[in-house]
Amino acid sequence: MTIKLTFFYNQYKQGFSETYYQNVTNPALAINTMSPQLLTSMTSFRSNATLLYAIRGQQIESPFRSYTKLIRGAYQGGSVSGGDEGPDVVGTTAVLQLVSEEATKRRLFLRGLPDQYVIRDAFGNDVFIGTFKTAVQKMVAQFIGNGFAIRKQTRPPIGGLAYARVPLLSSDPANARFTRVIYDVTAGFTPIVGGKVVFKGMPSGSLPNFPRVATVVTNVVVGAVGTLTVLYGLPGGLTVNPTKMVVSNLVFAYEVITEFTFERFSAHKTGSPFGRLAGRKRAVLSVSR
Amino acid sequence: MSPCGRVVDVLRQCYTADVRFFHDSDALREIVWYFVSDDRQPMPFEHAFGSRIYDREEEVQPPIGERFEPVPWRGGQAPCPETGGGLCGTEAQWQFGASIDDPLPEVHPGTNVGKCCEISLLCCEGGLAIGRLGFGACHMESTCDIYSPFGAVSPSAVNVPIQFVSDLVTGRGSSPNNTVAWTHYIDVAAAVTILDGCVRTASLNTIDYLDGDEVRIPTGGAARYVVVWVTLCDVEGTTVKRAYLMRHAAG
Repeated sequence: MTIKLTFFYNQYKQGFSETYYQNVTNPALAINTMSPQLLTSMTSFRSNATLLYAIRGQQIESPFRSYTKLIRGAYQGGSVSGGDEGPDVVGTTAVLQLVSEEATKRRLFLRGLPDQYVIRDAFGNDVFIGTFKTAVQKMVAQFIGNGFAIRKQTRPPIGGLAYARVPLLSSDPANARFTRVIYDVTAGFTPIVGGKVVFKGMPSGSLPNFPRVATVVTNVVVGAVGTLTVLYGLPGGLTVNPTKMVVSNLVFAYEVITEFTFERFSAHKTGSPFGRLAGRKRAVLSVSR
Repeated sequence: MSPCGRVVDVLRQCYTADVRFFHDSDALREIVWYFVSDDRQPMPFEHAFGSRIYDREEEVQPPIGERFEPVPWRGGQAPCPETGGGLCGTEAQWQFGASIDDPLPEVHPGTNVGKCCEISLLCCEGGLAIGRLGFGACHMESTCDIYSPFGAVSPSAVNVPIQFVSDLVTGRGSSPNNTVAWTHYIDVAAAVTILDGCVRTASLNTIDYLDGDEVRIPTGGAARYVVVWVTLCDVEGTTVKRAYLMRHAAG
């Protein structure tokens, strides 16, 4: 069984979180037996205003149990040369690429870092200092040692859509909220009521804000034609015949982390939601474990 | 089942949600997520009733626990009375769900809080401020005078025994748009005459708010309240008249 591990950090009473996955059964046991070396490696290189507040483990399949352990700052950033006078929970000076055994990459915005980790050299290039590189190597080594994984959306069979019908707005609000989606059963696509499906290629002009991921409300199959409904409606209703729109089940795979690279770093804060990666310097140095 | 104010999960914002507590029934119960102080104890074991607010987009709805929708935002204020310790429900119930046939726990008088919870009779949401440390008692036995109609020169009833409850958080309404708002309520004997002033216009399904009787709490006091709604309800097996009040002036 896979559990989702969420690490909650606080910095100046604002927060950010990092999420990883681990192939264990018991969230409470996994969290309570986490080694001090792991937690130290995740916090010690951050600015001293950053502390690990809580860890939450949640089973992502039945019986869906969760467990939350409050750390309350027992693990805290150790860098005294922080330079931060305010929260940098929405910006960072470094972005990692965590790489899995199947070469899947996941971007990790490292937050709560001292500003001095990335400096601008005499040639105008942004470079990071060696202690930062060493600290990140230690952290990722702990991830690898503990079997931490990242999540990847897989490519299950796709059902080609014959058309999607948005019903007319009627006096019955329930009817106006749903869209019927017609799909080809022979494509091997088998939606499950209550399950999640992913849509791609939605015509944004005729189906504005159509959900990328939606829950299947009903599903009926007659012969080779299936009809599922999802929560989406348009005032006035509409019937469309999208030529490029496809649907598939939302399925994830979990792959253990095996290495990392610095994707970007900058003396200026980068990141989402307020910062942007565009225009930032791409890392010239890859670091292997 | 109740966490009794323990830390159940870590959230950025609070909200209310429907929860399926029972493994043998589809019945739903509403819960509120609210912020607690850092010194609270967390849940001591794994459970199936954590927040699902971040799972709605991509995960499958578990059979028991929090429903994905609706999840209206809530300010994070603690409920009243606030609980500060204890735990209701067994580890098995928290992990596998309770049975609809499980007996209900005994509750603290005048509340819906189980005795398995340690109760704190402090209000955290403001409103009436009487009692120790400047906070008001949420539930208080007292007496009142009733003036009918509001502003009458002399009372129509005096020394009426009441159970007085501050209820500011749940009483927030958007009066007069088809609802009423209140800050407190009192429970009085069913035989007491106390009237609200709400009426309905023929052929409309909305409530037109008008002042009801005036209530002064405590008897002889200067704090004045207007009655906004009166209804009968059952409290511990006794039928009482519950009058919802909006404070008019502090005493």
